[in-house]
Amino acid sequence: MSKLPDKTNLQSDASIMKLFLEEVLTRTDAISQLLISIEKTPQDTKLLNELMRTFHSLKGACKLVNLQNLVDLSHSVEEFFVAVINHKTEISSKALDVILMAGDYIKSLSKLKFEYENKETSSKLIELLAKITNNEEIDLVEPKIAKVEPVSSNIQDDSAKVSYEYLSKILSITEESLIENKRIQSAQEELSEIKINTQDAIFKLDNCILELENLSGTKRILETLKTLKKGLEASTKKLSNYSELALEVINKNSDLNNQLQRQALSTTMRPIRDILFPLPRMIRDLSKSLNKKMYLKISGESSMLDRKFMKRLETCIMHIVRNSCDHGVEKDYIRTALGKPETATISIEALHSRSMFLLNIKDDGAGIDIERLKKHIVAKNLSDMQTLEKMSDTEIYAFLFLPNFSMSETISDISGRGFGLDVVSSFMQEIGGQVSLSSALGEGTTFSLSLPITRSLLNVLIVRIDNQLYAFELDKIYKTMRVKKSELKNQSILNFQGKDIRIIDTKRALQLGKIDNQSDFKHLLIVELHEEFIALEVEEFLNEAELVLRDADKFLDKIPSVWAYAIDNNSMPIVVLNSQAIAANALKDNREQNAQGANKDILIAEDSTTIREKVATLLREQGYTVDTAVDGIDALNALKLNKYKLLISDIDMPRLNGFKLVERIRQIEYFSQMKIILLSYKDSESDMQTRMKVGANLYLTKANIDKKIFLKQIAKFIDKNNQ
Amino acid sequence: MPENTDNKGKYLLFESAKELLAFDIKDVIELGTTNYIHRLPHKATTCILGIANINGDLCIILNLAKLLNLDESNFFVEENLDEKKLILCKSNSAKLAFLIDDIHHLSDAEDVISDEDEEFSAISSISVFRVANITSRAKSYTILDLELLTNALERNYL
Repeated sequence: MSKLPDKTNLQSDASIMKLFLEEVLTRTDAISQLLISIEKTPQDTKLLNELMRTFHSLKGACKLVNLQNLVDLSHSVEEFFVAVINHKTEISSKALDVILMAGDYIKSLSKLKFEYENKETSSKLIELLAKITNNEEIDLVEPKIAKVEPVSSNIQDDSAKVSYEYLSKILSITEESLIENKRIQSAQEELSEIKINTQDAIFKLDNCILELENLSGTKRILETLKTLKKGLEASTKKLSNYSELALEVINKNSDLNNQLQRQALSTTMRPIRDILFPLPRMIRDLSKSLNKKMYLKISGESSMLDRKFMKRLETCIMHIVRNSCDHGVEKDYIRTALGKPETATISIEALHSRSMFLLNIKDDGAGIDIERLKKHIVAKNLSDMQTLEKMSDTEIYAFLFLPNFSMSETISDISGRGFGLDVVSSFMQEIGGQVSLSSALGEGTTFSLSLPITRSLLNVLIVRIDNQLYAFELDKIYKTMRVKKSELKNQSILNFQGKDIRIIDTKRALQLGKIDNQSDFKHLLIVELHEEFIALEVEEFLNEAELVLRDADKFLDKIPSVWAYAIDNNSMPIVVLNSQAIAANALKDNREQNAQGANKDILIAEDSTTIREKVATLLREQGYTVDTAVDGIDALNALKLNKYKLLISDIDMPRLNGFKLVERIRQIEYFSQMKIILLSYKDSESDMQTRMKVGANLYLTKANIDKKIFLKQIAKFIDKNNQ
Repeated sequence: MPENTDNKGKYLLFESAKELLAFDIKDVIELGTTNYIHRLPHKATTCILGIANINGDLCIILNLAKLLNLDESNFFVEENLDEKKLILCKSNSAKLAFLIDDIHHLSDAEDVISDEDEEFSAISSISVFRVANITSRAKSYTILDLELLTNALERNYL
């Protein structure tokens, strides 16, 4: 890797560089989409011209910032398309691979802000392009030309041309203004009431005057009263005028606020197309690597969704599609033998229904063999066959969403690790959505994702639990019921629509105590979870309301069973609960929920964020529970509050180095059984001796760590089977 | 709080559960009080007391005494909540409000800071969160490391 000689020129004008990076991203994304289209219609002159022009523009932009190698590369691609347009060559699959590589290479360099580039790569690409332009044979298998990074959309959660955070703030203010308007409305109603009371006072005053007129010696009192009456009448008139004016302003304001709110809301939404566009390319690449013919069909790509969900939803879609391609779709020859079309279809359908965004991802592959799945569940000791036989298909499919559960016998780069569907399920639960699966053997599998369109404004039912205000999204409540306790045979079972369903004490499920209900009634919210009903018991139903949700910081986002937070008209906080998560957690034996102070596998003490997170990710991917600490002192603190089986510690750390940390740990009897691995850049004899002295079990030098040996050693220290 | 243009080396000195403590003033956003804290699911028995509306923003409220593993008999949250004080800090781009007993004062120029290592004690976790000690007006305060407190909070309670 070498630095470009003209790096200083690039940095000298930051604004040009910023514009250039934006342009490269836009153009390379467009190139990727155009290339997928041209593969289907290689003779389409319009597309060919567009591709040629795009590379030509890219060449111009590269020239402007003095990136000569990329000017040459773009020029070579442009020349290829000129040759195609002039019928001197044709677009073959291999030619497309080379051009896709060229696009990917330029895009990957843009991510490094063009500070580094591999000259050898551009030269090889140019060489290959010259060969395909001249109709010469090329071999793509041998030299790895460019590292093709996974293609993903450029959506980022908090940055755009207009910051999402800024837009959210505007939206929040407009929605608050709407609610404030409602407060003025009640003030105006009070004003009207005062007017009526004043009019009533005038009427009573009139009666007094009439009665006094019949009495003698009341002249002065009468005059005073009449003056008072005149004053009151004038005030009433003014009151009436102001009340009417206030009503007029309120109505007008309400209209404006509604319009403003709709506009502001629309700016925070994005069409789902933004995250679906990399999929055709992904399917093309997977078709080649898996040697399966696949076709992607997308509908409803204009459906809008809150920008906030986009990036993580994209990851979920990728997981599901990869899963479908790898495990769902059969090999071409099997499909032909089964009388199915040789090309498999993966379809993605997006649509809005009520206030939810629905996404169906369907394949026409082999479907899930439920009998094989049952055997797999039993083999993993997750249930027994007798119990499984009593379960519905939906309940059995739910096992597929468990962490570390995979039916695949092999782990590939594409799928099979058993973490993808767990990620999908966790994300959906976190945002108050749902994921379900249906499958027919030999016909295919459908994943249905249902998520809220936005997280800004919510219609809720406010309830009382633990003498505090909580809210549930109205759309998630199937029914509310006030049931007489004496009518229930069992206080934790409700007969609903002819079936016995469980009553969950919400206060208890939220670990806030137990509902102490002295009344004769139970207040129940009926919610649906995986096509089954569950009753959540609360202390009292209060009222329905429209809440403006507040952006919660990262700590508040981690509170389980909570979907969002809001502030009510009296400035009191309201916690919006995730009914599905409460029901799901109450139904399963949720060991993770009680993670505080629980036994965990590994603690990593490392001051470098990059190394710390890299090692933690690697170990979490293997299914270990991992905590991290930023230095020796932080690690000691963590060890005090949790029990770990293994400590992996760096040696050179601020405040308390690895040796001192181990020394202190070994002085405490409680930690005597804990295994310790020390990591260092150093590989000196004295370090080795110190390691032995302080009591670490293993010493590894970072430079020579072999991933497989490292994982094997950890597996040895943490014998998962003996837990 | 009076605006201070030179916060270098300035500390906010306060008291919680009879312990004298200090935060670097650079970590402190504002001081306040609250008369209502909304408890949070699954966290009722932890150091996370709940959320409160602090000047229009929802903030997570922490029982510093509990986070530091101090003697809880010296700090009753429910008692006289109005009289307790909140120190609002910013850590790792999130806001944290610590509920404490009383604010003493800002450190003075002549206060002495001692950052000698203290022996690690497995009983008191203050020593693990300690940056140094500051002696002000004849009293010794433990200066706390906000980053370490935040890490402990995330690791153990969230």
